[in-house]
Amino acid sequence: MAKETTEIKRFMNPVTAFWRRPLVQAFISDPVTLISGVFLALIVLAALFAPFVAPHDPTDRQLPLRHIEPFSSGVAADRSESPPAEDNRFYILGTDHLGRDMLSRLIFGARISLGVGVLGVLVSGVLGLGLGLMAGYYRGLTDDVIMRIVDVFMSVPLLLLALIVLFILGTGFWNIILVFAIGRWMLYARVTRGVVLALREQPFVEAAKAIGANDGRILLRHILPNLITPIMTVAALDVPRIILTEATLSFLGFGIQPPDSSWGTMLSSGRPYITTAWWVVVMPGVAIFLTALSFNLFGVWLRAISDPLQRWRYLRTTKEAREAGVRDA
Amino acid sequence: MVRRLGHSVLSLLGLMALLFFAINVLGNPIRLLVDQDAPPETIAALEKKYGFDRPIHVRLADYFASLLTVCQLRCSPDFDKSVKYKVNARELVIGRLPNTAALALAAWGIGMLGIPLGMLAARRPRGLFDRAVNVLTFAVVSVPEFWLALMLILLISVQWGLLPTSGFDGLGPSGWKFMALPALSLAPRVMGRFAQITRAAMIDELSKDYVSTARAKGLGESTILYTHVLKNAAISIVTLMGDELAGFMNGSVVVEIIFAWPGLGLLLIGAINGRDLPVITASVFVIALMVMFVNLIVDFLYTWLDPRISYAN
Repeated sequence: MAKETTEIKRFMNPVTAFWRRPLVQAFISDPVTLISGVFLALIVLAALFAPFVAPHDPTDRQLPLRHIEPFSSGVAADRSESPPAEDNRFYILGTDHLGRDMLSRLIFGARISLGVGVLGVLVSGVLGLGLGLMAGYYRGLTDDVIMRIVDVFMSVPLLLLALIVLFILGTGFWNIILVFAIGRWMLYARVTRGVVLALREQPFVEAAKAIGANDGRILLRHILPNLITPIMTVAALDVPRIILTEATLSFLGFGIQPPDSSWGTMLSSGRPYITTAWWVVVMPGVAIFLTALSFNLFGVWLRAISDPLQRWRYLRTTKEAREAGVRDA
Repeated sequence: MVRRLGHSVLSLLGLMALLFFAINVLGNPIRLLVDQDAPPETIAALEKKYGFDRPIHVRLADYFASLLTVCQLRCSPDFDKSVKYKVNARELVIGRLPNTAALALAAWGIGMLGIPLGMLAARRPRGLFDRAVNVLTFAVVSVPEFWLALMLILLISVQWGLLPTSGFDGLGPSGWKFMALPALSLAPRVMGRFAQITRAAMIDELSKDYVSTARAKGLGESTILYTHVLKNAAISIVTLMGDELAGFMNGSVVVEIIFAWPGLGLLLIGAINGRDLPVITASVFVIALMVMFVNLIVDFLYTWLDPRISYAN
């Protein structure tokens, strides 16, 4: 009896119950996903709490300490005081051509790079979701017009569109977000339309109509919740793409402008010194690469886990999956 | 098929209308041409000279007429010449087209190596090899092309001195030295996408009934894989790779700039920095035309690979 109670208690314990959920189990039993998920969490936290995490001020120029190699130290001076206050600093990732700490700049740059990625996806997602809902639900002419526009936008290279828009409207953080809103919405519109077309014939929509729900209510309360998973999957896979495109734009000089700096801006300003100080070009690139890779790996896991035909490969423990997956894949 | 062609033309016209709208309504074309603090008289004179003082619908009609009839790309009369190069924008763009196309062909040729990689991975989904390919392909897709280009320069050109850092020496046999690094910077992403798409298509096909039938009647696993499954998977591979071309142009532009490869991307960025409107219009038109042309070919291939699909009805 007593043993049974502890069994139940252990089962009811929210912490244990959380770890036992199939989704959480699938997440922690897949090493690649676990590593990318943890890395993403670290990057996001570092970006959010940048002032507390960064070892030095990212804008503090120490010209005598320019291009210091990674894992070396130098004596920084604050010349605003007299006599100048000096402190011995250790630079984990070295310094750039103005003697600013690379690591701190990377941490603060993450704010802009991730911000563009997340906001770009958010804005384009909402836009595409709205238009996709309209196209799928009303069909007919609305559908034709919206899907033709989708076709036009699908055939335009994103960078081309971005360059034209930024050329006309000028550069800046919000204009870049605008670029991604008008350059990526059609992804979400396509997915949304497909799902809505299938859902609007379902009995639960018919039932909602029968009890007198209006279009807005059906779309928002009955159809929208079914769209969260497919849209999330597309979004997770599009964040890296936007981060890469922003880096490309900033590298070309059309993106984020100084004094703000993203990883792309850092790469572009470090490019002239590539032969003398490799780390000013290598480090931001590694940051972009690892972040994009983590988003991609995490996104593809999310897609697999939300696909009923693929899910079993992840939900079983690895050993079982190995045994089952040999023949019947 | 005619209907499909009509769609492409319509999309192209839509894009050009968008460009016209962007330049003429969102921005002021003359303001883009002159300095910020130019006197109003200069602006008015330029407006008159280039015909920007006419009403917008007349200009739009003229824009499309010039696009359709003689294909002489221009924003308005007397404005078809490049501001910087003083030659016809169309000729300038068409002259650069082969260079971009050659680079794309080389990169996609190397990228085709992704197909066998994806096939091998699909043989045992979630197996060790598949996981390795999965991480590898996502890794190459996550590398910014321009960074890869810089790393290749740093390593191969600067450190080892094997290939030139940038330049161009025609498309003939002597030009391969200059082409190798740009093509190598662009190829990994194409290869990764090929591998991913091939793998997904193969896994999808392997779950179909005809595979079970083939196995039941005793066909060898490789016969099934290479003659039955690959043939059917080819359809989705071709379609999905067609969609990749627009994305490929993104990388191509920036790699051309890093290696000073005289293609459309270098021309376009130069035109944007020099505010050379006719060249911008012409390059956008030609790049969009190229993407659409390839997508059309993809659709032809599609009907050829799978006779069940036809555009007749």
